Amino acid sequence: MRQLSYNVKNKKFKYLPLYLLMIPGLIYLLINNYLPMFGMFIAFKNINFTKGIFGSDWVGFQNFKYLFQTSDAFIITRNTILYNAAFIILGTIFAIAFAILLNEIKKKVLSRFYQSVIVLPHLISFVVIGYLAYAGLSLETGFMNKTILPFLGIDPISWYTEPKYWPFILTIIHLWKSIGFNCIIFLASIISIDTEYYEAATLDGASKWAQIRSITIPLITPVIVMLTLLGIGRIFYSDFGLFYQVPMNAGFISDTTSVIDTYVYKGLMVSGDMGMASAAGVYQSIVGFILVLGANLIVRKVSKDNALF
Amino acid sequence: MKKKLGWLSLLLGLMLAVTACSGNSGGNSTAGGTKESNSANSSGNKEKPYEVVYAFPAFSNVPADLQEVQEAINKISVEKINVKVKLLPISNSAFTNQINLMLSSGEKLDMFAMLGNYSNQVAKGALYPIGDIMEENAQGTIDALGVDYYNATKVGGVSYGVPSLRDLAQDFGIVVRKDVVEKHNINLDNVKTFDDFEQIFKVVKENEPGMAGAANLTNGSILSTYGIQDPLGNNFGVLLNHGLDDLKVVNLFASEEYKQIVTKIREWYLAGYLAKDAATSPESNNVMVKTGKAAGWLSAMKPGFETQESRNVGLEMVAARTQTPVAMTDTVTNVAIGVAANSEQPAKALQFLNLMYTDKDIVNLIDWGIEGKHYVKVEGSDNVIKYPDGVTSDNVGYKSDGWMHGNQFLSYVFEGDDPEVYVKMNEFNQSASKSKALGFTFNGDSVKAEIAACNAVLDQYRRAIESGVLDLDKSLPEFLKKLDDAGINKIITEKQKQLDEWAANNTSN
Repeated sequence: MRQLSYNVKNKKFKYLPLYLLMIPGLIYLLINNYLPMFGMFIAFKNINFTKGIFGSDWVGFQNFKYLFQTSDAFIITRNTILYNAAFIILGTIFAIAFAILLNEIKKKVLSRFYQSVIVLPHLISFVVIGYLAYAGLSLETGFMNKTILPFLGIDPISWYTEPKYWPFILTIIHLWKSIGFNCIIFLASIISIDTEYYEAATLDGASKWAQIRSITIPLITPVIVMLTLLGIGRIFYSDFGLFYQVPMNAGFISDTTSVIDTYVYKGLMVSGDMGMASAAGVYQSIVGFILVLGANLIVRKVSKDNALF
Repeated sequence: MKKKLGWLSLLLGLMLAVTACSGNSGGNSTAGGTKESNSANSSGNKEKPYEVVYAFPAFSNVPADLQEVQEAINKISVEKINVKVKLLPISNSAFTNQINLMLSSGEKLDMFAMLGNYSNQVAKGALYPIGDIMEENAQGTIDALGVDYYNATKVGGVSYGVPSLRDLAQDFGIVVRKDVVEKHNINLDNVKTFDDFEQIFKVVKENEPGMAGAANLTNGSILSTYGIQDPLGNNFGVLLNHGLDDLKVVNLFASEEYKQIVTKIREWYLAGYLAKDAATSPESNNVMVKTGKAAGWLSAMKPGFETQESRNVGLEMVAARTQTPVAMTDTVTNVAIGVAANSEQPAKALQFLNLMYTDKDIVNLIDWGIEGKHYVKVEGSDNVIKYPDGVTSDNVGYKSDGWMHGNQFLSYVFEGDDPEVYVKMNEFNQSASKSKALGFTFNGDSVKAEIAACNAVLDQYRRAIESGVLDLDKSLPEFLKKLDDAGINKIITEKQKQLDEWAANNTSN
């Protein structure tokens, strides 16, 4: 008996420094991520500053109405989900491909150089990228209309009034910007793979392709699953910079460029209504929450080891 | 991205676990760190002066000498009404957001200026009903404005704010580069209607290759400020002909008049009079004109508008006016100052506000800074000023927007402007015709979902249609259909109801 209680005490004491280390992180999480959740009630109130936030009238789901008010409700939801789905799938594929290619470059200097070049776009602000795109797509002075299209014998295209091109433009720009960063994550996990696997495979005469398929991919699957799940959790959020800055806020192409965040911004920019803005946020996070749980459930059914929780 | 997401990210960041944008909060505040810096200064046995915090939108950096100017203002105001002021400029892009946060967090705020969202702030309960205590604290302000314009800000019979005294009415027309007009002998006297603009455009097109007749306004359309309607707050449901005829609320975009105008714009576009990429070009109208890509632009105007724009563009501009001046609620409340709902002593705030309308020294301190340091009087005149030697608009220690802070008519005139500009502006205000709905402020609270949805539709179509880039046969019906879906008729019905009620209570007008 004495022995046991001594052990428990000892254990507590042993891990105390680790708990202490955890405290700042926990406090940050609590203040930044959990405390604000109480603010969700604002979505159900008609905020009146004279009455104060707590004294304002409850209005039920009134604040959510405008999100579903028009035929646009379907379009923005569709755009948000499809774009993000495409970003998750294509982004993962390209990032892994680049990571594997980078890993195969044995010259260290070159490898570092390529890596930096790929990551660079990630550091550019979307405002700047918007203008870079404009330099390429502008009707009268753009690189596409002045140089590339005439070279191919195609008539100039008024990019900013033609909705049909934008799914491609936005996807390409997103990939260009985001691949570098994701690539680093994958590269880190590829590097950590024990080289003995590859040596053994080479001895057995496996080709590079076979090595990638049966060693690299399976071993980084947990990372892929985790990043994908996180991505799915944010599938209802969209990159505001990408969808607002890059199309230069050209209204007429909004059938293919409008997503939930930009729609909310455009609708509320004039009034700045707190209740309605938070209604959009609550809607997005609840759907995201359900999607993460659902996706994780499916992953757990398929392969228990790879599930997040 | 974070910056642009503005208030949205700030709010979501506060309220939601998953949003990663919370790093933004607090970054935008420009609040200076001076608390009670000279509280021991008050003279004799007077009670401690009350400090009025006055927040206003700023369009450039916080002036270096703000503190000094503030102290000079305080010296006068403490003596007169025992009130000190703390000037709090907030970057315009973050302004509404910051005010929201200050109000909801109970941060000290007494007075703030509003640009175009007066009715919103009233609906949100952000403002103290100053009408109740106006007479005893700020009668001078009412006198300076005149009863008509003072009454224009009343909502439900009570005033929640006062307009700054500046151009309270608007006329409309076109400003064009003077050299272009003179070179090609364009007779601006012949330009009397909207259709007449074509005369200018045609000459420009034939003689100045690469120059459009008129530029779009920055991030807007040709018609961004040139209009034929009294917008009644938000353009969803308007009075045609600036409300001079009757009080019938109609859908502007479905009206015959609107169709005629945009059809004309489409014709001009097809004739090559307008810029091909007008609907998307991010360039400002000033830059377009300065770089020779456009001859001018259509605009709402005021006396001295040509001089002002000549300075902004850097080239001499002349104007042709096609509509006579008219005053509407929107032109009056466009720039207004109100007392915050949670001000501790609204009466003291009002008394300071009153100084901004009646005290020439205070007005000029706020507008121009300290005499001898930030400006000097031009010799032989006590009303015209210029920068001191060695000081330019780039390195002057204090700058401000006089049209925002109270009574601009008490302000000195800067060298180069017409010395009589404020006298003329006053006449302009007094002689302008008045919309029948002047004084009516729409409360959109009960239809705010519809307004948000309609705003999104407007954002999609308006700029493209009013730039002439779209085929109207297809796009205009589409636009109207979407507005219908978004509930514009519900807004119009509500607006008509409120307007009728207002008119019934104002039969004396």
